[in-house]
This record gives sequence, structure tokens and C-alpha cells, in this order.
Amino acid sequence: MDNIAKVEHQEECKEICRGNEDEKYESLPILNKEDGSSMSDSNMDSNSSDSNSSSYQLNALPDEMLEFILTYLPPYKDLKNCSLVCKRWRSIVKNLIRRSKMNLHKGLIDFRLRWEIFSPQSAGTLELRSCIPKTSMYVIAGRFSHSAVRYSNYMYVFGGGSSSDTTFNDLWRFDLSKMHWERPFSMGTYPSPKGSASMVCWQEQLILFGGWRYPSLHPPHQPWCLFDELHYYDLIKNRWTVAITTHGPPPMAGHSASIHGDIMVIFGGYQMVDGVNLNSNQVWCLDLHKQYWWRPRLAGNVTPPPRYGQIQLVLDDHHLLIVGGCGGPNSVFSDAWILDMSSDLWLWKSVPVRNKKFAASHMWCNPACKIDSKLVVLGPTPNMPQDFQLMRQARIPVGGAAGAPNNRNRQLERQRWIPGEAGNGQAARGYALRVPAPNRPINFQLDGLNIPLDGPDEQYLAQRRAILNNHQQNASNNNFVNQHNNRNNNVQPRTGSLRNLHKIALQQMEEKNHNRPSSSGVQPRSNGVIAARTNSESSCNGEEVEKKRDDTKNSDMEAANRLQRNLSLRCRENEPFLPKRFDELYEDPFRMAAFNVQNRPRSLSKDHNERIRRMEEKMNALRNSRRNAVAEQKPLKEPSPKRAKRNVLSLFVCDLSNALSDDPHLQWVEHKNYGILPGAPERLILSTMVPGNGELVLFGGVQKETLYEMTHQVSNSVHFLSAPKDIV
Amino acid sequence: MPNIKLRSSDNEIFDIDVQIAKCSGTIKTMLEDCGMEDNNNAVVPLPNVNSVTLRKILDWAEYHQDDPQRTEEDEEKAKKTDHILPWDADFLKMDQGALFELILVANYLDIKPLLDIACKTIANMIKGKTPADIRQTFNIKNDFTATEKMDILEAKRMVCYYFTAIKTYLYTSTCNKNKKLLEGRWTDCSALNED
Repeated sequence: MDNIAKVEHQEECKEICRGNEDEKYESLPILNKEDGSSMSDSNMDSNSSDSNSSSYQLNALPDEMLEFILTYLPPYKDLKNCSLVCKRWRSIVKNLIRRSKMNLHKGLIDFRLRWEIFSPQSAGTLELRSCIPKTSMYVIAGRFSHSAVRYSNYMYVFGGGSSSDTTFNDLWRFDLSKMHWERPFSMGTYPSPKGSASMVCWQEQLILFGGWRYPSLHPPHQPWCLFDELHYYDLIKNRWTVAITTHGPPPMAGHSASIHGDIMVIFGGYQMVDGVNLNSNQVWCLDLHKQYWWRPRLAGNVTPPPRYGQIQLVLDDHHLLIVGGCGGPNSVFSDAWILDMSSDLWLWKSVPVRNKKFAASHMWCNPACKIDSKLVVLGPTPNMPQDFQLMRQARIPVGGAAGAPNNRNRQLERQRWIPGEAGNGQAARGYALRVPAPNRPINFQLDGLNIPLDGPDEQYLAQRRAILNNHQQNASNNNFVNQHNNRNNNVQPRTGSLRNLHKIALQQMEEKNHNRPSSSGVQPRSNGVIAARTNSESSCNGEEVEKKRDDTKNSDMEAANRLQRNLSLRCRENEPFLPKRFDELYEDPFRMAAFNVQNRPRSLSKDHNERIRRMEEKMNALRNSRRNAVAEQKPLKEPSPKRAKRNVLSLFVCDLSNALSDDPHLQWVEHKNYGILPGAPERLILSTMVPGNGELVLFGGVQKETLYEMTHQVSNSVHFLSAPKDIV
Repeated sequence: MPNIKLRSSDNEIFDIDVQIAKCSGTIKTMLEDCGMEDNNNAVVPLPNVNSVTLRKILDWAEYHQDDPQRTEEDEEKAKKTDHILPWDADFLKMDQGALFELILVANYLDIKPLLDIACKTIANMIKGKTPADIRQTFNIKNDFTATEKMDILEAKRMVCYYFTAIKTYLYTSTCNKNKKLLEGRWTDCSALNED
């Protein structure tokens, strides 16, 4: 019998039998009522309040309450322990599990789920600290292209690439009930460092195959290499063994594997065959008992085109499903194939996919997993209307913000951005990009901050500016990182993040732009209009127009009022048809520069976005407080998270229930709000997602700036996707 | 601010501000539906609540009377058990019986935030404990009968033994049909294991 199961059973036996000793005390008379721990038989009594003392037992609570309490427990070991307490608890726990599964299922269809993040840096809450024994305050390093498997209470993570061009070969496990990382120090023959290997779980063993690794730096000039090593990790004995097999598959990475019965089926991948690297569509099978590889004979002429990075799912013991994959630069698949293994000759069948417009894009570098009859895929947010166009970099207002209502604003200097010049080197240098503009003062100085630093807003701006300066300088020092998995698939539109569009617009309204365009006869356009227009323009232009508004600060009350009224009227509409004011197409090159260059030094890139977001929030808070002090209008309601301007991971769900029916097809479920769920993580690629109990667990990944692949921020946080639990 | 009177089960009258009382959904509905708001002499009877608990609840409500209304997001975020304010944690330091009674009353009076934190406290008490510890903490009787215990344990164990034996036998056989049989059974067994 399997060892681990045996051990568990022994424990359970003890647990259940231990209660027998308690029975001895059942017959003792009731001594103390006040402390509420009486042994009276009010166990199952209803909640009557007739007794003077509070002799309530936990079991006196009705079932629903008890179930509600148990929803607060992590649904892993703790819940299992609860099911062993007594009969009533067991049935409640069963109910709870059933209900959470249903909720997740329903949530997937309705897109009513939410994300929660656990990052080791934030694991400093009191409760967590108290639960973590001293030895396990390890923090796992961020990684991408790792392999992850969930087994009972733990999520095991192996290998992957790091943010510094190296590959890991460490095995970690994440305790899902205690929410902390552990590192089992295992014995045996450790695998080489590798990423993009396939890892599956079979009979309390993890099976690891294939992978690639970054070239080692010493001796220099080595190529990166692919592996064909096969390793087993015994979960109970905590031991690695390597399997020597003959006639195995060529070294490969980016393949996918799944277990069917007692064989492991591998498909696809990027292989090295006879010295040539190519994508493959080969199927290899490993007989797990006898430890030999074999290739199946395929019937029919049709095979899926060669690919790597695809998603492979177990439909049942004789069918597997392949979705997506990448076949090379600019060749991303979104088709689906079923491999029918029921007869001696295996057969590939192409499966039509319906509702492709709700499909995930890039199903080769984004994680996916199967929940019951649904395939859950993450991916970049699909194209939203211009309204929501996001800019990746946080907005950083720049410019002399003269708080005092004086004429300093006249001296305010702005740059003119020439539309069409996107991301040019000049901007990258960031400083004075001088372009003459009619009626406008030109010289834009950045370090000569001749701005009175009165007022917290200005200080913040100065702070931000300082940080940006820093970044500018670092930008030029950054090395170009050649990521293996970067296939130059710049299929992403140029994106960025425009955070809190409306908040910024609000700021504008209180800072009247003194240096309005020349024509004195023209009533200054409300900033609201500008802001609205920014919504509709492309991200590039939108930023320009909006940014300039930050330059001015002015406490012109009426204008502020007017602007806000206009804003609240218009800002949510898509207004592509407002005539653009030529001279208002400002661009703040500083900000553009910041956007263009991914200039975070790696060392502080871990929660850089968080920091920027926090700073923005602080600024917004200040702005809000200032606005409240300034005018008594009804503050504009903050945009709900649905409209939050962030570039996040979206959820896509595909219905697999008809995959094996008479009319096989896959159907993508129509997403709501583009699959953006509250709390979604920033866009990561090459992360992993494993199914938990009633939730999905996402880990790792790298935030890839498609524009400039200079630096990338590798994540080490764990995100949980679960259904909101019902309140009793 | 108008006051309202609440009467507990043991006929004690509590005179409190209407706004504070309205933290309870039940009381709020009662007042609004019965038009008692204008009547300063109205007494709301609460036959299910004794005075001790009611007093505690009113204390909590008074402390939290200025809390902003919780949006749905807040509720969702608060599903982890570590967001309990220190004051609340202190407030909830009472013996178990009182805590359970508080939960029942909070449920009856429909005071969501109080219910949340009380339940979180109890969940924290359950977390990380073995079943025996849980039984001891909450004084729950282990009512699995001997046969049931056997059932739970042995069922799993026997099944696994059985299937392993069958698997080995079937595996060594070269017949395809047996192989399929083998695979089929294994799936069932794993489903059982997940229970």
C-alpha cells in the first residue's frame, strides 16, 4: 500500500479513536456551568437562552452558522481535520466542499470570481507570523517557466528561469493551509537546472522531463541547452531518482505532458533533433511501470501542426486535448485537437472551436488548467474599446505645479509633442525636448525646479520626478536581456497603463490651465472635455493630452466648478469626435520617456508597480482632500474596479463538456468585463496555475514589457482565484 | 438624535441612539416598517436576546457607529481571517459560550460585521488543530460509532489494498481488455481518495 496513504490512515485512525477516551467523562456530573465548558448534554440543544449561565456549545449553533465559520478555514488540511471531528461536522464539511465546487463552477461561468494575492513580502501579518515556525521563513525567489503540481495540501514548484538569466533546480512546496513556503531538502540525484520542463504527479511521485536552461556563464559562450532527462521525485521519501531510458525522445522543452492510466503522454515541444532545433508534433509515451518509452502508431493523416507551449488536458483515460501553442514567430495557435487513444491506433481529431471571439490569446505562454468540465485560461486582456486603453507605466505628472494662484503659471513650461513620434530616443533622454510652439513658452526644464514646493502635491510631484530622473539614468545602463522564450512575438499592441484616468482628470479640473491657447476670444475649453477626449484617443495621444494638465495648478474656483461639472457629464463617454485642439496636443516627454523606457533596475523591480500605485493613491488622496477643501461639489465617484485602468490578467473559460460528444466542439464562454476580475494580477507570462480545492492557484511568471525587453520583473507571489463565499 | 428603547428577554430596557441601533438590520427593518421612528416612546422587544449579550452588542455598535458602509468588495476582501482590529479582538475575548451566544444574536439581529469577526475568531481557533484538539477545545463528543470509524478508515484502506492487488495482477496480464479494466478502476479509486 502506498506509504503516504498508509501514514495518513494511521493518523486518522488515531484521531477518530481518540475520542473514545473522552467518553469516560461523559457521565461526570456538571460541576461548573459558568465557564461554558460544561459537559452537559446541551450539545445538541437549540439556542434557548433560558439558562443563566452561558452554557453554549459550538455545536449549539445551527448548521448554517457552523458552515459559515468553516468557510473561513483554508479548504485543505484544516477542513479535512474538521471532517474527522464528529458526524455532524463531517456532513457539514461535505456540504461545504460540494458547495464551494459548485460556486467555483458557477463563478467561472458568470465570471464572478476574485483574486487574492499572497506575496511573501506581505506575509508579515501578525497571524501569519505566529503560524510560521522559525525554520520556514524562506522566501522563494521569483521565477517563470517553472513547473508546478498540486498534491493534497501542497503546491510543488520546481525550477524555472530567474530574473538574472539563470535557471533554478530547486524544489519548493507551498503549504496551502498554512500559507507559507517550505523547502524540502531532498536527497538523491538532483536534476539539472531547467525551466519549461513538464512535471506531472503519479502515484505520489512527481515526474519531471525535459526542459531548457540558460547557458552557464562559465565557461563562457555556451549555448543554452535542452534536456531529455527523466527524473522521479518520491513525495514521501523525499528523494530524487533519475531514470535511464533508452530510445527516448530527443531533448525538448515547452512540451506538455499528462497522465493517462499508467502512461505519461508527451506531445509537442521544441526539440533538438540531429543538431537541428525544431518544433515538433510528436507523441511519446512513457510506460511508468516498466520505464520504457514508446511511440504510438497513429491512424489517419491528420496531425496537429508542430508547436510548443500548448495546453494539454486529460479528458478521460483515453482522450487528451491539446489547445493552443506556438509554432514559431508570429504563429500562435488557438485550435484544439483531441487524441483518441482508445484503440491500438491512435487518432488525432481536430475539434472546432466556437465563440472564438471570446477566446484567450497567446495560449502558449499563459497558464491554464482544467476545472471539471471547464478549461480556464489566463491571458492578456482582449482589446477593449479606446475607453480603456491602458498605458503600462504609471502616470507620473510632471511639471511645474505652482500651487499658489499666482502668475507663476504663466511661466509654466510645457513641451509640445509632435504626434506621430512615438517612443523616440529623444524622449528617452527625457529632458528638454524643445520644440517651438506658438503662444507657448518653450523651455522645459526639469531639474531646474523653479517651482515653489509649497503644498504636498508639489512635493509629491518633485518626488516622483526625482524617481523618474533616477530611472532615466538607469535606463541607459540596463543590459539587454535575451530571454529564451522571447520569440519576438510582438503581437501585443503597444500598451501601457493609464491609471485612474478620472482621478487625474479631476485633478485637472482644479488646476486650471492658465496658459491656455492663445485665442483670447475662445472660452477655455473645459478640462473635462480634454479628459474625455483622452479616453477616446489612442493611448499615446491620450496621454499627451492629459498629461499636460498636470502642469498647472490653479485655484480658480469657478473654472474648477465648471470643469468638474463638465467632467462628470462627459468623462465616461467615448468622444472620438470632438475636434482636437491643435495646440493642446501636448505631450509630456518626460512622462513619455518614462513610458518608453523600461527603466527599473532589477533589484528594486519586485514591487515597483505596487509602489507606484501606492504613490498614486496617496497623490489622489491628497488631491481629493484638497479638492474637498476647495470646493463643495459632490466628488466624482471613483471608477469602479471594472473600469480600473490596469493591464491585468484576464480570465477566459472554455466549455469542454461537448468535446467528446457526438458533435465535438469547444465553446468559449462569453466573458464579462473582458474577463477582468477584481484584484487581478498584473500581466504575467510563463506562470503556472494549478487547481486547488475550490480555487485556482497562480504562481510566478514574468512581467514582460513587450515594447522594450530590457528588464523584466519576475514575480514570486501566489495568487488565488476563488469564488466569493456566500454569507449566511 | 432620537433615542430608541430596546427590551431584552429579561425585560431590561436599553435606551440608545437610533443610529446606533440601526447597525442591526433587524432593528432597522422593524423601525422602518412599523413606523416607530417618530415615536419616541417606542420600545422594540427582542425576546431572543438577553441583557448581557445585548449590552455587549450595543457597546460594539457604539464603537463602530461611524464605520462606513461596507461595499461588496470590502466583504469579499475580508474573507481571510487576519483582518480583525485590535479593539475587536479585545472585545471578543470572552468565554466560548458567550461567544457563541454573541454569534447567534448577531445573526438574529443581522449585524454582518460583528458576525464576521466573531466567526473569524472561531475559525482561528479551529485552524491548525488536529481533530482531537478541536474536540477538546470545543468539547465536542466524538460520535463516530465503531463501525463508522471502521468504515471511514477501512473503506479507504481496504479499497486501496484491493485495487492495488488487482492492479498488479491485471498489469502483468498482457490482455488489452484487462489493461482497460485496470485503468477504469484506478479512476474510481482516486475519486474516493479525494473525499
